[in-house]
Amino acid sequence: MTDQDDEMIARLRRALEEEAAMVNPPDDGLSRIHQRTATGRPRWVPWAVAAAAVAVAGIGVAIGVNLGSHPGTTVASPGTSSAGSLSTSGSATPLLGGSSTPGAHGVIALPVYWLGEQGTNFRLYREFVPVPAAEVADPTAAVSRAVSLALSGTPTDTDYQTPWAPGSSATVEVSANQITIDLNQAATDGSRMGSQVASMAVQQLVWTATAALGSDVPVRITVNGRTPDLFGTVSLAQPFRRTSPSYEVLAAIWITDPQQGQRVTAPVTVAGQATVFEATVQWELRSGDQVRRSGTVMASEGGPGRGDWQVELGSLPAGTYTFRAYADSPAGNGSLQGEDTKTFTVG
Amino acid sequence: MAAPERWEADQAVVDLYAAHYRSLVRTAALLLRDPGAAEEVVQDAFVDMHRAWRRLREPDKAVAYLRQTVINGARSRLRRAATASRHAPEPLPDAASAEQEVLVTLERQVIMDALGQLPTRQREALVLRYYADMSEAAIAAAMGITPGAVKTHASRGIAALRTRLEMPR
Repeated sequence: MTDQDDEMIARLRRALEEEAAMVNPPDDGLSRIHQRTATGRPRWVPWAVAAAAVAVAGIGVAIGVNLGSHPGTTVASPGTSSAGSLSTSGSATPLLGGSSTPGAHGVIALPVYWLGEQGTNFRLYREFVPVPAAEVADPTAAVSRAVSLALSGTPTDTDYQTPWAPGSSATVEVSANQITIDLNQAATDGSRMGSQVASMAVQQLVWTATAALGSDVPVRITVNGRTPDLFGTVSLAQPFRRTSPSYEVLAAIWITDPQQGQRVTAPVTVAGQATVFEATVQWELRSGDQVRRSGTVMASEGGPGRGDWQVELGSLPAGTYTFRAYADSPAGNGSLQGEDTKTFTVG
Repeated sequence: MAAPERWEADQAVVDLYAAHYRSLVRTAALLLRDPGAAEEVVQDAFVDMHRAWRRLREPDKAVAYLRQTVINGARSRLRRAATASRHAPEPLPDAASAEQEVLVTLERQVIMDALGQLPTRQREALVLRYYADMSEAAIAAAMGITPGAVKTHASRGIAALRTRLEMPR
């Protein structure tokens, strides 16, 4: 092995890594595989594999799957992000193969997307909203509830918002390969939306509905059964898909764990996702007005890929903290590529 | 398949999907230079693995099986593509937009093109070794050759890349 060989190997590694980073398979792989391996009566298992799937999906959609005829799989908390240290709802049953009571006590955390500001634009952020499992026992109920929250719910994090007018609601239908969201008249009031927000509002529903279903199917949006141009700017003629590449709609930085207002116990780990230049995420931990700690962390991949990151804060004195993750623009003009903050309580 | 076995197989798919799906798709994409085809090849491999679970039974064996099936799947795709392209009209030149052209990293492009021109076995050995970071033994198993042959393919591949990429001085 010569020096020139070593140099060639280094160049090859770099090229392979960069090329590979551009390949981000959509998160419907598992459901596609399951469609082909399943026999017998399909069974809906909401979020049973969410924790497993989230890490892979990178964009953190919960993936529900059809697990064939296996009886009695129960529901689990999808709250676990890629970092896998979240226990938001506390009452969730274990992952696959846990309790065999399909009656499902406990709580399911429904993925709901919201709009948040990113510079002069709006981008999507995700929260998990706990709802009683019994109320969302089938896919239609789950999608319906998640969409309803996206339209008229209140995000826990006050940095986020729903762009939809008060009184907005929808009727949801879920078929094997499509979700239909039929909006009411109130939802067509886009007077507070520019065209940029309007298309992001549509993506908010698309990401929420497909995440709740756990399958990246097309989403048809209608208004009272018709397909006018929504807000006068967005054509409803064709079904929508999740916008790809995802960085055009997802906020560049998410903190996925802990969630806003969550009470955590030491050791504290903060985790999130990022699509940022050179994978570099900056962070600071504040308590009151004081910055207690700060640093940088590398996401598992750099932009345009979406990487996972986590910061081990270890043991912290009891109290309330705010964690801010951000990335300065590489342009060096003081602007940010993205930012997210979460306030949580230790102890 | 008996119910408990079926359950295990389903669960194996879920677990292995979480741990390996994306890296397998990426590996296949490096071999095929076609992400869509790479996904199909990997999904096929998972479906086969599910079917073969009865004899695999262990995650390690299942991973080895997945890798092997992905390599084989990629090979047969490439063979089919080669046959098809002999009968196909010349492709149009890339109509990349000016914006995209700026984004293309020339170095990566050049290396990937050179890699694409290597014999299949050399390309496989290099991708598995230097992207997937697999051991010689694991690569040998996945490619269905001896560890010695893996070494040979890899070093010939590196030498060939150097020849193709070296600038005349």
